[in-house]
Amino acid sequence: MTDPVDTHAASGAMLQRWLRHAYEEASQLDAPGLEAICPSCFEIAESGPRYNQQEMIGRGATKEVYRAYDTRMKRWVAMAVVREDSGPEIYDRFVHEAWLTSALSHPNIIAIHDLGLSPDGRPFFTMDLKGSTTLAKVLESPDRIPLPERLGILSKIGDAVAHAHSRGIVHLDLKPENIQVDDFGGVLVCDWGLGRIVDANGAGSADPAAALPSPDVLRLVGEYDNESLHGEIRGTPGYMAPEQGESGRAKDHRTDIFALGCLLHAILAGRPPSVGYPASVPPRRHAADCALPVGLEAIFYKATAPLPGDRYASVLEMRRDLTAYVGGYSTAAEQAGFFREARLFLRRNRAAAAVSLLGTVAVTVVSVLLVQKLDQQRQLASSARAKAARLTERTGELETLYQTQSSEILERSRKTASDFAQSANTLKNLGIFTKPLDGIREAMQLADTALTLDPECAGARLELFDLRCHTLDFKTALSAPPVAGNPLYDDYLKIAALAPDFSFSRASRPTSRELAGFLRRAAAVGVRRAPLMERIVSYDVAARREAEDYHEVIRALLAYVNPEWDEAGFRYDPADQSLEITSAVPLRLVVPPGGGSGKCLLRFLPIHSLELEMPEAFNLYQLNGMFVETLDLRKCGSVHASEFTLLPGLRLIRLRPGQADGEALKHRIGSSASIRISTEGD
Amino acid sequence: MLFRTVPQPFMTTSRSTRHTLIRRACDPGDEAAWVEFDRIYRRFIIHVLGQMNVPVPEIEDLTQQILATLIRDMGGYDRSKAGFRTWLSAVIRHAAFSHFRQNRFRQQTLDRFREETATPDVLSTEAEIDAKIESEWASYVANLAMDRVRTQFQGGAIEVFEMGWDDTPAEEIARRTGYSVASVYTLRKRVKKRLYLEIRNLIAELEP
Repeated sequence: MTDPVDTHAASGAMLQRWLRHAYEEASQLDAPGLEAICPSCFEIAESGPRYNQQEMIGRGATKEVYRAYDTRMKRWVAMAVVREDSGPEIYDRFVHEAWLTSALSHPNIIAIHDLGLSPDGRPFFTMDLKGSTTLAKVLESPDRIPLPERLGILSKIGDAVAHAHSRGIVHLDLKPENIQVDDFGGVLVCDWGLGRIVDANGAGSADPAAALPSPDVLRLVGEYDNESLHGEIRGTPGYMAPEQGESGRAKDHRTDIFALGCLLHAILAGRPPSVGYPASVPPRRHAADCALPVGLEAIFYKATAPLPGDRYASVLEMRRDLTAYVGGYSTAAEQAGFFREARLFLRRNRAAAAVSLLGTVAVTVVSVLLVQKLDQQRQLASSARAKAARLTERTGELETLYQTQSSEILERSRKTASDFAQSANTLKNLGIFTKPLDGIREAMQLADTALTLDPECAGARLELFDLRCHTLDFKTALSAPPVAGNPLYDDYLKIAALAPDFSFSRASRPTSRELAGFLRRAAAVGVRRAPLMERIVSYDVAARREAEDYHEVIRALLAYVNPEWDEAGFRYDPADQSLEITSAVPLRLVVPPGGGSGKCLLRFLPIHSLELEMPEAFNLYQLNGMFVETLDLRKCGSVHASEFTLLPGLRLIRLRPGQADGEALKHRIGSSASIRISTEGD
Repeated sequence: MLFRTVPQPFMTTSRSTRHTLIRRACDPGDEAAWVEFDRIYRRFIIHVLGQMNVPVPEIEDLTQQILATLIRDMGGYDRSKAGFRTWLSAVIRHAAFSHFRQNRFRQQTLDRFREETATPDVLSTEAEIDAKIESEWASYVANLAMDRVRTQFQGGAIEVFEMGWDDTPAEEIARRTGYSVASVYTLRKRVKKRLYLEIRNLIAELEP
């Protein structure tokens, strides 16, 4: 430390004078002393212009806005001043705007800092200088920010307006030019010059009295509200509710909601909607560049309903809808149906939903099939067809999804494919005798879908093989044969090997001779698969266009089912459609359910009259489902019907006297005609 | 930061609880206070007596005598009747005058002291002598404060401040030091504030 005495001695007289002076000032605390000790405090005590370095940043109809430096607070502020060419008529309105705005305290509402008079007597107020631009400029910019961010801005505007409404204040001039935004998510609702106080709408504080601005503001701004000149219309076209365009109509918080709806449109389309006047015309959206998402379109229309009562009841309600949309939920305004809800659900939960949906669809397919087994196959087929089509559409998407999923999801995919294969099998079995063409086609689609999901699905491969056997497309079937070991498919392989060149389809069918020859070869090798043969014929009958010599096919089919029978006992006359069958052994004319149809094999032939000659007792049920008018059973043993037998066209049964109880027999036959039993001779 | 706080015993106690150095020095048990009191006041008294042309061989005795008087009379000092500097000046002057009276060289000594002033006639009065002593005290305290301030700033702050003593314009200081004019103003303001606070701090400590 320097010796102060030395310092003193060494210092010049000027320095010592200066230091003595400092001592006097510091000890006496006069103005210079205070200035040295607390210069900041001293500075604010100085008189002088508080705001300087003013630079105009905006100019409206009645006021100008400057960027100004607040020398007292040491910061930049925005300063609004009444324009020099505006008269004192608007001074109070201007002051009231400041009072009204300062009654609001919200992060998204411009904050007022100071209110005063300029040296020439014009009122001014200062406020936040935050936003680097306005929403209008953002929307005009070619590099528009993404939709979620724009919706975020709208959400903040909604927050601000909801706050004002809760305090009984409405803005009445919401538009992009009055919204300041910056690059950091800041949003400020400005220019409350048209704002006014209305009754609190109940959307805000539980205690409205506590929420309202001070009584002074209420009184003075209320007076100002009544100052509107007759016929004066205030607002901005494009954002102005119908009630603003008509003198004398009440304006309230719903007027702001209308403008928020228009802002939503502007945010989506870059421009306000075409607002129609008079009030009865609802606003229309601009179609040019605006494909509004369904949920947002509904919000827009509800917010901008011509009648205030049809709009959202509160901004919070509208905001909830916006939040729901952003979150992927349906909005109240759109009144979404089940499918819209389901689609939104899928969008929200893409991966999980894809798996769940698959499982659900698979289970649904199987369930529907089982339930409709009790009903009619037609409904089942159409339902399955629809589902198959839908699933086929989704196959590409699902495949992509599945490739990226975990092994667990792959496992689920395999399970689903297996379920589809099972469904295909069920569909085939149910449809082959009633709607063979549709049944086989749809079963093939299901099996194909299953293979798309899981190319290794063994069940689907078997099913496709089986189905191709049904259509006599042995060539394709043998190209992807099942693994040996299953007795059923081992037999099918043997059968297919009898005609490996058969590659028939729905459009191209074998001749009767070819088909009969195939059946005879199958009988010759001794493979007993009567149900398959009946199914092949059932599909063939439905698919073929001409039936020349088809009785040869039926003869061969009967011979296949009855190997001990001499097929020479089958005599058919196509001219009068009469058939005579002679057999020394009991004939099986029905392949029982559980593979077969349970109906008479002769039904595939047009037969007007049938004569049977068999030594044994004849069970009429062997003719179940056959369309025949005349039945001659006189050369049979006794005749009975073990079960109720459908013979829809039957009119006459010829019996020997005492051969059967005719009346009892009639009661066991279902026919659309009245049946006569004749016991007379020829 | 240019500003750096140096722990100082005088700075760490609040005004409401601190006892001035001089009062603590009156406490026979507070030896440290007495040493510090002795160091500060002794230097000043020696300096003033030197200014009053008291012969060097007599200064030490007279200083010791004045220090003893200060300690003895401190209890009777009434702030409401006179400022401390006035009281201190009176104590020193009174002791010096007593000494001079006892000294046959008093007159010539006083003459020599008077010759160094602009207005010799006025200086002969007690009031003028007191004023001179008071001025010396102000200078002494301000220099002590300045010494402390010098330890609290780094860089060119002190340099900038001292260059302003002779009213050199800020622009000229900026040109010489390389600082901006705004920085010159800011640095001067900061050092000046610190100096004034230290002066007030010393006053609080040294002047009961």
